[in-house]
Amino acid sequence: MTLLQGARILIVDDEDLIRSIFHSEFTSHGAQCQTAANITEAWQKIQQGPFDILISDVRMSGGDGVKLVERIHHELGYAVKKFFCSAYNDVCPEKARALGILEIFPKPFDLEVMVKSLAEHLSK
Amino acid sequence: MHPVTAGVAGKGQASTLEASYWILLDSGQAMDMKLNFQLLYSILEALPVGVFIKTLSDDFKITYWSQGAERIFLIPREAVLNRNAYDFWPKDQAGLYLAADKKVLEEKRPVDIPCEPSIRGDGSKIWLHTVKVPFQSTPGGPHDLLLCVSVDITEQKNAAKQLQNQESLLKRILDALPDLVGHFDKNFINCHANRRYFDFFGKTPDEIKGRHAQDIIGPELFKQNLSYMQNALLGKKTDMERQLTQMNGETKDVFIQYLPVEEQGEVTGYVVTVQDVSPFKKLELERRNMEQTLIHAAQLTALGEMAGGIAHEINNPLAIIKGKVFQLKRAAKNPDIKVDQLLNDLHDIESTVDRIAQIIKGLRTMSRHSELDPMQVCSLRQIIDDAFVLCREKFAHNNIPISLGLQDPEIRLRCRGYQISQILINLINNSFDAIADLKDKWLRIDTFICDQRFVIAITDSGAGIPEANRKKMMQPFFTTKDVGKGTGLGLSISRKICQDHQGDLVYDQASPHTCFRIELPLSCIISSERQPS
Repeated sequence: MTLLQGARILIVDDEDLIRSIFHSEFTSHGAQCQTAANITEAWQKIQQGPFDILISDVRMSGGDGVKLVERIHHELGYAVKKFFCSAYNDVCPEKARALGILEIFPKPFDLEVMVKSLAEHLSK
Repeated sequence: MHPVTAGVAGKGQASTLEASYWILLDSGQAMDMKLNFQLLYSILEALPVGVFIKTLSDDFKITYWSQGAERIFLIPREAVLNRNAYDFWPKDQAGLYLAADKKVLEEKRPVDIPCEPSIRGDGSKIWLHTVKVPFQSTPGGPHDLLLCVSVDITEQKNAAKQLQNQESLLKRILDALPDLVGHFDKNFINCHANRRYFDFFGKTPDEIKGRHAQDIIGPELFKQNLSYMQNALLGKKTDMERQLTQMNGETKDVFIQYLPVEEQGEVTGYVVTVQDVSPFKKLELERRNMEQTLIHAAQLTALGEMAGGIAHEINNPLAIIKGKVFQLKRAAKNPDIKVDQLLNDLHDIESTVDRIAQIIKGLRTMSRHSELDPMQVCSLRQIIDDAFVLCREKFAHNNIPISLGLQDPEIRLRCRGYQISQILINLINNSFDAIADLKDKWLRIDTFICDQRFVIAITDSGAGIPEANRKKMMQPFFTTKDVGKGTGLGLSISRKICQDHQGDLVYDQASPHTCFRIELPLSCIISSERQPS
């Protein structure tokens, strides 16, 4: 179980249980995870980084995941692989690509598929 | 020679009259006779009717023409004395008169002509009631004098004609009416009925006029309506709605009125009118169906607008459940499974399932649409929660705080709770559209009692509705939203729902912010202790 061995992952979601599921899942695959409940907290943590992977919800109380990714895309001093995990298809694929989003995982997600996909992207 | 004074005889005609008079009165005192004659002459001259005498022996020449005759015919006596009809009337008119005169003399008895046309000196037409009396100038001799008395009945004749015209107009109007109209006297005998009335009962005018109501409408219907007829005869107007079966078997919804007919303060009969209201009933039913369809359409639109939020609200908890289940399945294969952790995860799944159930309940709220649903006792908190579950997400996502100020959160209301939730969803969504782009954005919901009303006030940070839109906003199809964004039905339907609850939806003009108030009667409040029925 070392698909995500050593990967530094930042999980951003306003749902406590989703953060905890991701945290326990990715950790069990060898990743080092941190979580943020909103985009302000996420921006602080990612700056303190570095992180290899960012998985962010899109619609969140307190601010939009797209805004966070835009800021990271334009302002963050290092490269991070960015993913969306969304409950509703509210981001158009072109915009996502323009922001450097590698993949959008729809909720409800399949954890096994997600982990495999993250691992693949890490190895690229 | 008999004494004649010029003062009495006037223009010479008195001499001929007097001559006739003397012939008739064949004996007596000359002075008394003169007095008698003067009296008779004064009477004849003073009469408001026309009096004239024709002499047969002298080719029906006129020998007396009273002042009354001058006034009626507008012909001065100079023009007629010692002349006959041919001299001053058109030939055919004069011929008619003379023929009539001859007939009277031949038959030797008075003739009454109740109505004959004539022409006045100025050419205008008049109607006369004339009596012609034959006289014998010599006792035992031939009937050779004709006394004529004519009364001008033009006015009465015109009035009668006018009345006839009015009656005929009235009849035509009554016949043109789509309603049944029947006029009966106080013995229930028909005086008049219009065409619809005949048609409805499948009878001819002759089978109705002069007949007893019972013979017309049948004994059963007569018995049913007798009290209404009697009340009308007592001066009381009554009306009712009922179903009536026509002669052809067709049943109609009708509005019936019994109206007393009064003449000089006394009830002389009654009028019954029957209006076919079937088409109105049908329209009313169609209108209600249409209204229901519109309400439903508006709900579906609102539902469509919320689809994104709903998908988000459901997919998130599904993601949690799926994630937890995946992890639990894996943990189940682990011999060192921790029961505490397992129970924790199962508890999380359970509460997440409840969360979805709550949303589904909210959706059911949106899709129900029956005004026939009974009023139920609903918790105010539940009504508000049902509304929030469908709106909460987009407010959270856009960082719009919602605050609640419930005076009594445990209050229960007798209402159609889901309809009140619908109004709330509608108002909350409107608020969202209005304030989403404002710098200062918030929404608050307060409940309180004010002016004998239970009020749910929805206030947002907006600066109010522009004056120009305030009146129109409650009208159906009025919207300021972009095409495809709103149906323009939300407020009108919300208001209708409030009114169905004997309340109202009002815009609070006094508030510095945009504020709508759902106002319900205090009678809808059920004490907190009572259990829902």
